[in-house]
Amino acid sequence: MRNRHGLVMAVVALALVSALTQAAESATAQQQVRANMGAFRARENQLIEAAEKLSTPRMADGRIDLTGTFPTDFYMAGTQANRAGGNIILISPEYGRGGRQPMPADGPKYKPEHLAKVDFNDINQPKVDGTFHCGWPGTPRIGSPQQIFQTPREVVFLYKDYSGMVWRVIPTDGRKHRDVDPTYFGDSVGKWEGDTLVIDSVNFVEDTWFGERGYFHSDKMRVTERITRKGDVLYWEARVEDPEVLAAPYLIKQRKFRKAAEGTLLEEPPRCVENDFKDMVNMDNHGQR
Amino acid sequence: MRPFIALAALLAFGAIATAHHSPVAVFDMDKRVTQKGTFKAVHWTNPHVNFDVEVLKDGKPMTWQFESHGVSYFTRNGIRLRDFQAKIGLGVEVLAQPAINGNPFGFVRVMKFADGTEFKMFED
Repeated sequence: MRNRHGLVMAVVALALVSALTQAAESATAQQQVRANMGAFRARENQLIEAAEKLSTPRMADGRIDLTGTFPTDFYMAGTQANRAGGNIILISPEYGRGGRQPMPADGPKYKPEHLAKVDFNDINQPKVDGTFHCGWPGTPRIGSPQQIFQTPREVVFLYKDYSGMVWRVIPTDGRKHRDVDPTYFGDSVGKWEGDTLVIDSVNFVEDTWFGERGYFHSDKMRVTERITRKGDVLYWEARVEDPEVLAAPYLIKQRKFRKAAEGTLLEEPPRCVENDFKDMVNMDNHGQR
Repeated sequence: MRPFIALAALLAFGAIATAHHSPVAVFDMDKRVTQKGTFKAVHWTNPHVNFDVEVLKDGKPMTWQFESHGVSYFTRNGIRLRDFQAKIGLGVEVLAQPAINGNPFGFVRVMKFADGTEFKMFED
């Protein structure tokens, strides 16, 4: 009996050691993933600093030339990839355990009567956010263009979006806003202020949000994007005004994107197919954009 | 302090997130399920890539679907659709986090193919 008890204890001890070893290996893999993320960010910052020091191209008319491909889909930067022996090893960071995050202190300031709707949207995002179901994010939520073509009269923005392929053609020759139907990306006109392209967009549908935390808007929204370039780095920021629902304009802070190698073309995004909503048992969600 | 990294923290430099829902909303993060069967299809879609595995239940074939990250997660790391298409028809053993609602659906962690190769997303 004592021997049997000892055997059981030994098996339990072995199992415990095995479990602890596995946990330690897993922790090590996660530490490596975090280190990779840190290294990626540090390297990307260095590359951006170096790219900013390159000469800034100009058009024949003297305007700064924004033409180029500026990828934004740096996803899962910490992934440890290894393809040795025909394997596909992509060790990802483990997911968080959900739970609603506090609303950001520097988020948009809504009029008091609209705060409850923002709260509802944030809590019910998978139900009420069109982008969850592959809908267009609209301007400005789509972010910066990933490929730009510039002529003396127009700039063309191309987006490889999660929802599909999106383009915008923005006149820069003094044309005024058109009398057209409201759209997801709005009616845009651009003008140059020195080396910065300032894009004024109006005439939006009300279906989109301008930020992931339930930031809805009215059809009176006006978006001002400011885009410039230094060397091979694109700078993009946007200001959102909506006198119907916002108590003050909201600024989407400047983001920087490094130009891809000359000649890099955008790849067509895959089809977006929402497959999970039917299996969700709660509305937990994490950041989209 | 959250024990794991929130996905939003992984996105670098204001990049577009191909994130969708939190896995917590669909999958049991603390459970593991293992299914053995035949690798039948890969759905190369956003917001998530999905894999179909045909298994036998009570002698009858049924399909389990296993979800992974978005396409850019793979392409950024040099993995293409053809890499998974090459596995179609092979036997496979899948370790996954099962759907909470009991449907034949899981979030893939490791797939071991009958040719000796594996697709691994997490350490287990």
